[in-house]
Amino acid sequence: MKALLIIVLSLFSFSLMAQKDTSKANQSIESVSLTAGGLTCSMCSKAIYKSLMKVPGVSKVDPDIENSGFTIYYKKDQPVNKKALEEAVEDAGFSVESIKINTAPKRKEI
Amino acid sequence: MKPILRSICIFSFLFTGTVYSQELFVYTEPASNMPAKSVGIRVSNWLMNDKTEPSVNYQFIPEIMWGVNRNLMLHAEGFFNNRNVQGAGVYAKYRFFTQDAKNRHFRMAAYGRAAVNNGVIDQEAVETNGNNSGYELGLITTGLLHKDALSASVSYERALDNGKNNKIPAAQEVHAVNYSVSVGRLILPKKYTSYGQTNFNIMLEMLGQNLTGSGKMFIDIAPAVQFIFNSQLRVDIGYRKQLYGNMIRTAPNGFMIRAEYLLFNVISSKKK
Repeated sequence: MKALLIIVLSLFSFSLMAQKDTSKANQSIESVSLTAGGLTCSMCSKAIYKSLMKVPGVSKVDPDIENSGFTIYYKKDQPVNKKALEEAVEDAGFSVESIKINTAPKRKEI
Repeated sequence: MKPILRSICIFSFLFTGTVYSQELFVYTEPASNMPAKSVGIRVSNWLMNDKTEPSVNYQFIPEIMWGVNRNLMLHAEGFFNNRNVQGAGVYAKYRFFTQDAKNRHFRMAAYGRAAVNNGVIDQEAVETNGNNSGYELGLITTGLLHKDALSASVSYERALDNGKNNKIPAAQEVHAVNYSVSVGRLILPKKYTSYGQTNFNIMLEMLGQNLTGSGKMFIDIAPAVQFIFNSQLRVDIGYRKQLYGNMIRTAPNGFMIRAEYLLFNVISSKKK
């Protein structure tokens, strides 16, 4: 009876883990939100924008000059390299205050 | 000393309270550097009133600037005046302290300049940026808080004999200490919406020099306006005026008109 209980519990925990993995697999990276520190002017923001556009895999950068924010979009199936984004901001002469990867649920295939 | 105190009072009065400024100062450099792997082209036109004759002392200083990495930038500059080609110089600035936060920073940098010049030495003021052969070593500290910025610098400057046998007169002092305080104000735009908006800044700087051996000095005030087009092209118009001075200077007062264009990320590996 004890052995049976262990088998049932093990199967239950495996199924939970599998569910968790499936939910991860069903998410895809939509964009990266980055806030830079140390600047206020548009010339500084443009320096960061140009530097981020040079990061491999980046397809588009939407700047929010007023809030020193940048939304970074990647080309399809390109991995996000947070370190490369941070280095791009630092090369422009500034620092990264926050960086967040935005994920979206994958669309179901019909 | 009264004129100095008066100028400090005027300076403090103008820039006390809510001040919106940028740190791209006209007569001094901030502690921040230009972006790494970028190149800047700067042309400065100095139109100073000659004290010895009723004419304008014109000086043209073109510069090429290079952001070597995030902390180091280099300038190569040429010195020309309305008489002849005068000389050339190199300038390096290294940012060694950075404390950044959202919309604010505190930075410190060390800089150095070395120059050769063939011009006639006709003033006591030491100026390796256009008039004297020699070198300068200095420190800059710049603080930015939201849109307010304040910068200060101090440097040691040493004049050497100019080329073409234009030697420094034997009794003339060759060691100088320079100091500056700079503030500015962002007038437009009130709110940023795009890189295409023209920025309009006003600035005020105080620039001083002491000749260490003779005790002679000058202190200048230099208001300026600045336009930044397309977040890439900068145009400065400044006027420098001596407030107090007891050393010989040929052309201390006059205008400076400068244009500077930044080419972002032109020296970088190809994007994959």
